[in-house]
Amino acid sequence: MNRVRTGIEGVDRMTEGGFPEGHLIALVGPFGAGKTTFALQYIREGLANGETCMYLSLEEGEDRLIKTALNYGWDLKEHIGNEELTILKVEASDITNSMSHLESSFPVTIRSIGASRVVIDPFTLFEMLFEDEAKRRKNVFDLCDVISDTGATVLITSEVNEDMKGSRYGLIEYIVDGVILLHRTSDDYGRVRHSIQVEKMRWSNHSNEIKPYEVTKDGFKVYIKSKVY
Amino acid sequence: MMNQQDEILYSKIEMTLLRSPLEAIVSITVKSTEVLNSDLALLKFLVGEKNMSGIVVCVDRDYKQMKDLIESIGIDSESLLYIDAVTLYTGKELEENHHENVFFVDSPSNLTFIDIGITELVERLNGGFLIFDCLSSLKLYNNPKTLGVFMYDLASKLRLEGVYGVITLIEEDSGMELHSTIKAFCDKNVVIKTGRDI
Repeated sequence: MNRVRTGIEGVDRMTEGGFPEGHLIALVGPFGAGKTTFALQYIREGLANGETCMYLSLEEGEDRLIKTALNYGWDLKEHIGNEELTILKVEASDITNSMSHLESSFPVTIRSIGASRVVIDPFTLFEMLFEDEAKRRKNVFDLCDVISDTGATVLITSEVNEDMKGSRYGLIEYIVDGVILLHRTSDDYGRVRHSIQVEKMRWSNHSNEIKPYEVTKDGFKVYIKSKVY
Repeated sequence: MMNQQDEILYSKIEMTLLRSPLEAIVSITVKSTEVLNSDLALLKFLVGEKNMSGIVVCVDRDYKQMKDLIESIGIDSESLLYIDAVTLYTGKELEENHHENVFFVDSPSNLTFIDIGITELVERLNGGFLIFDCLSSLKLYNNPKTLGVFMYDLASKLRLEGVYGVITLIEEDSGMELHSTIKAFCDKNVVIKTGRDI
């Protein structure tokens, strides 16, 4: 099984060398946990390896994502110019009007540009479109299915539910091939602590340990040799 | 300059350490008033006599104060690395050019990052020693059970990396369960008394 390195050394070590190629991985975490940084770092690693990448954003526009990446020293503009990176901004209203069109056009776009790495950030907005649980389940399942069929290794980000122990609707964990959970806890003095756990990674003998991480000036950093106290 | 009582403390520490293999984890119990003197005597022996490099964990005073104290008794502090859990906690600004040998932690309650700092500095050491004198302070900021686990993991890490670990315990706290726990996993436990503390 080929592995797709994430660009985050600690995550690669927790997952036997990276994400299994062609798998759909969910990164689940609260706001401010560094999900977008993680996703940009994943894309940046692909670009550094000469891969073609695609970033489907449902929240932040291209300019803002470029600025965020630049903040960590990652210049995406050059890669966009060279057509190595495609950033698509999709408005929530567009999805509402044409979910079926998205389901058909999105995989076509991935294939046409030859993207081997894809990010969808945040995936939760897709889920929020459906009030009916059965419809949500069917549409999310169908979308994940067509994305998986492209053969790209896809990272989707998702917000957490109220108890911060799973995704907002508790649905994607069952659909995707891998789940990485970002925890945010407070100590007795109210200081925030961040930690990361690989909850699921098909075809991998992955770590189950909870490891501390922080978002540094160089990006997402996992302290694999330490533990959370 | 050392006075007569400091010399007594130094010679007792020297004798104690000479009698224990330097790959061991040792607890030294002293009176609270002797903790700093004990640290300095340890450093005088390990750096001055044994030419070792090492890590000093600073929770009671920032690394600059500790560095000044160390240099004031004629010890070359260049070979020392510091974990500093004071500077940021007290709201001081970090200067730009003094960080290479120091790992700053935002709070004494952040055992996770104290562990991360120790892990990173131990990798730079290639053996050496670690002096941990701040248990009494850390217990103010942390749950005793968590602190016990942290200390146990620390001792295991130091053993694994071949780092000589000295954990200073305060005699006045000797009734604490945490002390019994720590003494149980140390390879050697010594009590040091000087004329001044009797």
